[in-house]
Amino acid sequence: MKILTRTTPILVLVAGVMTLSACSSKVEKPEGSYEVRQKLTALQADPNLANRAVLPLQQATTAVLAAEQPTKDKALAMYRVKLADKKVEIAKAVAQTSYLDEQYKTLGAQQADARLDSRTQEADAARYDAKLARQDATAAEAESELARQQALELQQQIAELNAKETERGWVVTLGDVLFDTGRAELKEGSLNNLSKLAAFLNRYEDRTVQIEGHTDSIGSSDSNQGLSERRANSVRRYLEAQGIASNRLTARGLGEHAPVTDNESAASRQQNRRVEVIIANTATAAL
Amino acid sequence: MYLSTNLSSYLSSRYPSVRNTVLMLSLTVVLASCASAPEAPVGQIQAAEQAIAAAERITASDYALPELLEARADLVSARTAVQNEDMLAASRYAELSKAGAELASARASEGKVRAVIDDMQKNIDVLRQEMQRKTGQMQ
Repeated sequence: MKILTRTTPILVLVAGVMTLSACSSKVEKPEGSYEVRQKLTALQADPNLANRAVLPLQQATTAVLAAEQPTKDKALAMYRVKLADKKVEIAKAVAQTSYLDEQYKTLGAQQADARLDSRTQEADAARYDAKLARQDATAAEAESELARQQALELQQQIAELNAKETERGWVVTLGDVLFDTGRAELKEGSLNNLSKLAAFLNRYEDRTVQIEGHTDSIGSSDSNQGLSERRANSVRRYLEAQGIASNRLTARGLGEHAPVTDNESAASRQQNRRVEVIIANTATAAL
Repeated sequence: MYLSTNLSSYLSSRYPSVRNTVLMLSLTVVLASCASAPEAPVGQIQAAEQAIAAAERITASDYALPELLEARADLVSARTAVQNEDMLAASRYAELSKAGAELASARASEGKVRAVIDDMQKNIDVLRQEMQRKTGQMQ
């Protein structure tokens, strides 16, 4: 024990010298280990990759530390560097895969969104097209409906006027009930038919009207001519008084020269005594 | 060791002539154990083989062929080293082979995900372009 105590300072000195010599003769880090360390550092500094692949990164770190161990055994040094390089690459690949996996999920959501957007838009576009088509159809329908109604209305009105379709137009025959025998003044009580005609002409302002007076063959041809003219003019004046522009109206008398039937019986003569109102067919007429 | 020391001291004390013989014997045993070749790294080679098989299963040859080839070459080197009774080299090659095969697998996985993502990105781009075209038509 005494000996040991005395030798302790010497031992410490020897140990110190050995340590110093170890330091001074410290072998350089093995070739290639610096590059592997740099690779590892870069991986650890990458914010996208650093926190992934924890276990492979630990293994890589251990392998790099081993590769940095100085040794005179060149084969060992080379082996350690090679192994460390592989471990670092593994950690990097695993981290990248994990990162890409995450992107894959994000992209998956994006793709789903894009698909949804696209489909929504397709649906919108389809709706939009359908709406346009519907609007067109509705407009066309409305137009044709209007035309149809107008046509129907016109037909009804013409039917009410007892008009007959001829080549010259719609012919409304006003019987002699309008006038007293030999007179040209309209009878107050039988203006119903005429007022319908006036209303019709007021409504269809593009139509011109020809008024023709006719008589039977009783009496002289001249007086019949005059009477037919006066009666036609009476009707004309009435229509003018109802607001029909005079330039739309022409009136003439045809006397006894254009009978609709023979003058043999009172009934047939009555048919011949008449005023005919010819409503011109216009180009815009719907019928 | 404790027992043998006791035994040798017992024997040498009892029969001093035996002492040297025992010493020689034990020395011989120690030397023989040192000289006998270390065991072949069977486990490490098997691990390398399994790692290569795993890499091949996920078609690493399509994504990381150089890494896979290197792993196979290292495996061959490991086996050759065993035949040459260089078990240290065999162990190192086996370890390198295994790491190389794992690297091939890792790169294959990465490559696959990357391919899928590239595809998706293209899809998304196409969808967006179509959408812009359609939007253009609507306006």
